[in-house]
Amino acid sequence: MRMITDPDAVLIDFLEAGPEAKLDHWTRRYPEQARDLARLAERRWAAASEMSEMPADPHIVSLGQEALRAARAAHASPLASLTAAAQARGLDPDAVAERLGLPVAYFWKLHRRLFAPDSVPRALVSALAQTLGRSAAEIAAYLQRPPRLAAGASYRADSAPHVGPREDFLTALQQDPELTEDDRARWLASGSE
Amino acid sequence: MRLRHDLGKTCGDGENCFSGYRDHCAVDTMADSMSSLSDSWRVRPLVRVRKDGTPYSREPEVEAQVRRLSSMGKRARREQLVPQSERRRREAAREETLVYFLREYARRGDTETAWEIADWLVQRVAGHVRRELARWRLTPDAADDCARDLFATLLAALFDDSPAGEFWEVRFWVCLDRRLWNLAEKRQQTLDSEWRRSDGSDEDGDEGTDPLSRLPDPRPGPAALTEYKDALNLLTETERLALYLRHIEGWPEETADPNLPSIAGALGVTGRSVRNYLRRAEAKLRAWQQADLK
Repeated sequence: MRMITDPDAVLIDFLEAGPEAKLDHWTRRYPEQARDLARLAERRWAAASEMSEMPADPHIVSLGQEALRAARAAHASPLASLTAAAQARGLDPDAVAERLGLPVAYFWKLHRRLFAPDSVPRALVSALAQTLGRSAAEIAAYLQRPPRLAAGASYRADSAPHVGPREDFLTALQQDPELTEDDRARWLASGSE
Repeated sequence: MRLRHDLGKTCGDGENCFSGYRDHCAVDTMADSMSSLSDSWRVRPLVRVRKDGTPYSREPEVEAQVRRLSSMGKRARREQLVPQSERRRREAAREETLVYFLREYARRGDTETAWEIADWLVQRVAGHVRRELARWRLTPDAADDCARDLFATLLAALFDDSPAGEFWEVRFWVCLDRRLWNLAEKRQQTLDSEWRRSDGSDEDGDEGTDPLSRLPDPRPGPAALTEYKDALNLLTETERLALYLRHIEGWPEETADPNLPSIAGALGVTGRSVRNYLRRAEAKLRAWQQADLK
């Protein structure tokens, strides 16, 4: 089974390797994180570690507290699954997918959180929220949670199976032959907003 | 990344629970019940391990804070974690410590205190978020969107009881910055493509023709660049990174050898773009130096 490399783990390991850690060596090992490794190395060199000493910015604080209120409301009545939310609205997965203009496979991938959350366009999050009668913040928070394995699937493995890296939504759109060109164009355009 | 199959972690999602996990889910709750009868709390160990099997650990200062606060009475602990006075705020716990206790309070059902710690964390990171966002060429609206997405991501991660959340207890700022960089980069790419569509402008632009616009010594080295450290805040994110990789790491602007690191490879841009970043960065530093001399 392929070893999954958590991006946080790579950066933490690089930092804890100390100033002697060679950036080019780590970049060769983890090319997909080259930029983040470079940023971390640069911050360390610039001695930007006095992060917590920055005075609070009232505007940013207000944005944070706005997110806090939304998250708190979502936690009060948590969104357990997209299928449950759809069912509560009298919809099945096919109906939800049709309203979104996406193949039903996308609904299942969203339900199982198999798309990288940052790659899902805001417009889709809003459309999904509206369809399911939940807030965009709840849907966004739901998508952030860890991916889930298929219900009812059985596995034979020495260790617990896990889901591989999450898929980029826009890449999936571009490569999917099932989508109509109109739907593909619409969601690709919304992905760049 | 191997997940150490250990006690003390309940599954976040029941339908993903396999027999091996389910067996241990309830075992540790007895220990929790016992410790909750008294004010002091048992310190919960981390379960994440590296590929080589060595466990991740909190920094010594954080671990010491966690142990000290865990041994306190309820009221004293809470006063330390959600400081009400300016004096207490100056003595505040590390962010990693706050994350640990936020998760602990949430696990124990005291969500009110958990949310108050989250509110305090939001205040703690706001200044840093502002500084980091200023490095990018984002519009005010785009920067605000970035900040909102970052906080939503942060809160989702903090209240996610899965082992993935433990990294925030190990190195909080690394976890926060990685997410902030990715969000800002994505927004920047969107803005750049919009700007290219609208007026053809491009941060990459045309390659400069003035050879004197570059620093005279292409590799002045860390010592020479150090004198410019104070001026680095004048640079954009990409200018700063390009400058660091060129003059500190000594990487070439681009290379045909895929096995060799290059600035273009690391940043995912062309060699021309890298030269533009460097040209502009060096021009800004030169201007700063001349202003500083006056």
